[in-house]
Amino acid sequence: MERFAPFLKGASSLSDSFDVLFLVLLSLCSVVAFSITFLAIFFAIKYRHSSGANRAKIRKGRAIEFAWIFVPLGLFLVIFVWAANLYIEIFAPPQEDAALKITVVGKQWMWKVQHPGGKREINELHVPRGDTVQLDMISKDVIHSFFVPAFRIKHDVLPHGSISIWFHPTETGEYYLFCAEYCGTGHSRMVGRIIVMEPSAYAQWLQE
Amino acid sequence: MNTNAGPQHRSYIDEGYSLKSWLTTHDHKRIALLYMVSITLFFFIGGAAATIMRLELATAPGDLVTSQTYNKFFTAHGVIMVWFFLIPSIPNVMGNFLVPLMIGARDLAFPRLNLASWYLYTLGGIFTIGALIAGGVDTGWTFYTPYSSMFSNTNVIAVIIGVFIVGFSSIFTAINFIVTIHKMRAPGLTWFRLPLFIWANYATSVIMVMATPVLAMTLSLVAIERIFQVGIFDPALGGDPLLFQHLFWFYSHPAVYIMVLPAMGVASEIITCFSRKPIFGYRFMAYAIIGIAVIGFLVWGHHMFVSGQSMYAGMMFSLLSFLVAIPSAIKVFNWTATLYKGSISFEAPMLYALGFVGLFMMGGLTGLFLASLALDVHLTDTYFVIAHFHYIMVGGSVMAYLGGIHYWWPKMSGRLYPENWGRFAAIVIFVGFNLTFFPQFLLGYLGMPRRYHQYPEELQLLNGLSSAGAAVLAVGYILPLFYLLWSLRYGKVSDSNPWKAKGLEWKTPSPPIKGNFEETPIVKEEAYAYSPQKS
Repeated sequence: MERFAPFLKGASSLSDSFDVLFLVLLSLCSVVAFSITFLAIFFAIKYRHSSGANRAKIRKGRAIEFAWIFVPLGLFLVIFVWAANLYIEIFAPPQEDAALKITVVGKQWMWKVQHPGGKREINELHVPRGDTVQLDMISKDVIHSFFVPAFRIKHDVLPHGSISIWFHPTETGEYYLFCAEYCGTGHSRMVGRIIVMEPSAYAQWLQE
Repeated sequence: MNTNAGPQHRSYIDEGYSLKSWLTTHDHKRIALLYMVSITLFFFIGGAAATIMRLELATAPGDLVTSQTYNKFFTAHGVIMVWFFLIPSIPNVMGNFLVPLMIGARDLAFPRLNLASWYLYTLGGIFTIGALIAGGVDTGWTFYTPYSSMFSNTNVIAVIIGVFIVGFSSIFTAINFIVTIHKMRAPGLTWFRLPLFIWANYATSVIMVMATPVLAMTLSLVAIERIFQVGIFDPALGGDPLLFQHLFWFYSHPAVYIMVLPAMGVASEIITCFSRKPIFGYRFMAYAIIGIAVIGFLVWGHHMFVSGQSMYAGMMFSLLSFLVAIPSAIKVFNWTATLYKGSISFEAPMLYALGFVGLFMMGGLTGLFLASLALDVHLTDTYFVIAHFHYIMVGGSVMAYLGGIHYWWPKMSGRLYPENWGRFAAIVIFVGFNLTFFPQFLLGYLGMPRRYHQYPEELQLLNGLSSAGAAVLAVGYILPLFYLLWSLRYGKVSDSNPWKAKGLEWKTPSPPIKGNFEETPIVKEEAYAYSPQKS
């Protein structure tokens, strides 16, 4: 299985777009957090009770108050639109016929997978690299959630209707599949592996 | 009303020492103390559950308790901390004690209703603790259906009854605060002269009155489905499980603001006092409180971005979640600006309040990640969410609660707490908190799902750090219990205003007399009329 490093490995077409947005927001938030912390500590020292710092003339800062309403608002809107765009991409089903369609059934506490040719597996999902894979998922009992950190995708698997998600694996390897929605006693054992193979190896595996 | 307040200042504590005199009291200050004792008890029960969880998670395999037991512990932790500690903490303890004092009233508008609220809280607590002793419940505090309604074999109904009942104690207190703040302010105390603590409790009360009934209905529906097999949420019976999530979060998202708005009120009182400066942008601060309360009702769907809710609904909820972050940001900026040209001293309440601002800011900023749709897809239901809301509710609300307890302790008890112990505990809590919860952001980003009894070995190091931090945090929380109790007997006797603070609560003796004020005060100045140059 993959080793967890400080940075999470990406293995799908979505992971890079996710990582860029994540890092941009992280940088932005870090700047804000460090500035506020710095200012608070600076003021706390400079204007400590025993200091002789000049405290005369405190102006009413109407302008600055409006500034720190509208500057964050502008930044928020940019992040919102960016993240929403990517969300639409995550939702958008791939070109219907181009995708490899695999059926996934979640039940307490396992993932059952059926490939187009009828091949079945449990808690493992073999997929070819470079293909668009569409998963049609349903639950037999309670709500589960299909979560592959390396692909940056997650979706609840519902008992009352099939939902579809897609991904496009770009790196071969083995990746974690977690159930992310609490589903009872064995929730933390409802863990599987996604095995991304070269297309030829996948074709061979299907035959086995 | 007949008060015995003479020149000798017989305090509210001296009105009676018998158990009966406490259990039948109508005095808001005594009821506040009843609440304080009860929620402290629940805090440590909920904390004990968290201790077991962190011990289990110190190592990767699930080897300390069984999965079923672990699930019951995190459920108990959530249910107890949310409904029996956080929601009643600041409103029912500090609000009960201070709302009448701060507005110059003799009591809350409905003293009997106030006492009834505490009895309901206690009854709800008995049901919940009873259910835990009888074997516990394993649904998580969120009671997601159809697991809670049709699949769990545990004491779901008893806990639902407990939460249902305790909801009415919230509603009773909220009604009391709303009426009191509208009708019983001292002459001259206009709305824009009110301390922000009052604004915060007012807004919180409105949320409680509007949201809590929805929780009661929702949990009743779960019980109805569970007992009578009526199809409401379980698709096998013709129900819709997403309906439950919408109803549940319609209450439970605003509930976050029930927990944090009063904390913001407390921080505002403390920061102005120890900066000796009026709060920066008073009106914006008041509007921000109202803004948060209103928009907070419209963002519940951000808990459901990957639940199967429509993509367009997700986009609306995301946008509104960014909007609700604006007033929160304003508050952080204004607290920081209040320090500018202040005359700042660092007594324990101030350390707690500054810690609150820092941790709340961290919680707020990480909330932006979760409001961002595509980022939330990866981060939701992981430890990133756990870290985020603990920064808000524990880093924020509990820090503010403890800051408030220290700040008003002389008023409540008539004694000063030992200052250096207070400062020491504040620092231990701040350090322990960050050590516990910061690693959880990394765990969540790396993909560790919440509510996992066991986890991949690679995550051992970060989980170990978190568990070690929890040990430090536990020490930090136990310290005040000891030195505050110690101070009741051995602490220095406090005068009526040890912090030289503004506000009507400091114009009456410490501890106050039964009817609060011998003469109704008349307010002639704005809130926080501090001057950094004089003192």
